[in-house]
Amino acid sequence: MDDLSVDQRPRPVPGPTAGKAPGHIPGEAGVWLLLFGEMSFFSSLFTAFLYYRSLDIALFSASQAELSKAIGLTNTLLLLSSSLFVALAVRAVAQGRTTTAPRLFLAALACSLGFILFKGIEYYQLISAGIAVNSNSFFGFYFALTGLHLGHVIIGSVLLGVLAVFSGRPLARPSHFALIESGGCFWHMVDLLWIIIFPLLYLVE
Amino acid sequence: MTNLLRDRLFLVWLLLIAVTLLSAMIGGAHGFAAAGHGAAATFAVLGIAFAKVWLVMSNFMDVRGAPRALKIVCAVWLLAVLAILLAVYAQLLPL
Repeated sequence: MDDLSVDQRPRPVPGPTAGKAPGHIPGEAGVWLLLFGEMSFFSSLFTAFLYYRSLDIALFSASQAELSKAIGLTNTLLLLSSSLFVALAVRAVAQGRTTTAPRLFLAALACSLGFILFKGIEYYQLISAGIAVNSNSFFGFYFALTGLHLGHVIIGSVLLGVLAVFSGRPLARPSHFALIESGGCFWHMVDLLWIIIFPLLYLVE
Repeated sequence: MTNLLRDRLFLVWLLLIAVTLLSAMIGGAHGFAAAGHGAAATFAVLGIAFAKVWLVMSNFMDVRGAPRALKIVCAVWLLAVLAILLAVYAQLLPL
């Protein structure tokens, strides 16, 4: 829905209701296809994890005890907070607050860098203890799920940096709001996946 | 502070943090339910996780303001995935 008019006069900043029309799909409709595709892919891995767990519950429980629940919990709290900051940032963009929005995106980025740091510490602790991706099927799933997720966190972090820059300028076109909202939705998906990965790997008994 | 407590996004975040702490206490190696109630703890912990996903979708991703079709797709998808995971966990599927 690009605005193709040649009118180049400065546009009024969007009001608090920008992007909030009734029945508004958050972001681009195509983003939701991507999100459901990604979430379905991860869900198949979640299902496989629980299936393999059911074949050797003792091994999975013993392996789970090697993980740091405190680090998993801290990372969950960091991602939930980053999602709050992104939701606040997208609202700030809708309200035309070009000073506040970049700060909120940077706060979300700080949370995500904290997540990456703690993930690195956990990998370091496990590898120091002689655990690797091929140690057993639990750790095969552990490194596959957390590694794939970490890749999304890194892509999402770059995106948050771009959004921090992009959101500091007045929106040139209404369609740009949908782009920012789409970026925000991608970040929320990164949070959603971890919301399920954390209990699966750290809490299932 | 009073403004924050009137802000739906902030309140949803508080709720998410609270239920996360609750599920961390219920589940895992040293959870409340470690002594013989593993299955109940797992159902609770996964149920809480999917409730959190719904809270993030509807509030942070603004699905609550989206067309009804998207709300239904999200809800059905989440319930289906949760049902499959619980069924596989409880070995109810002929796999």
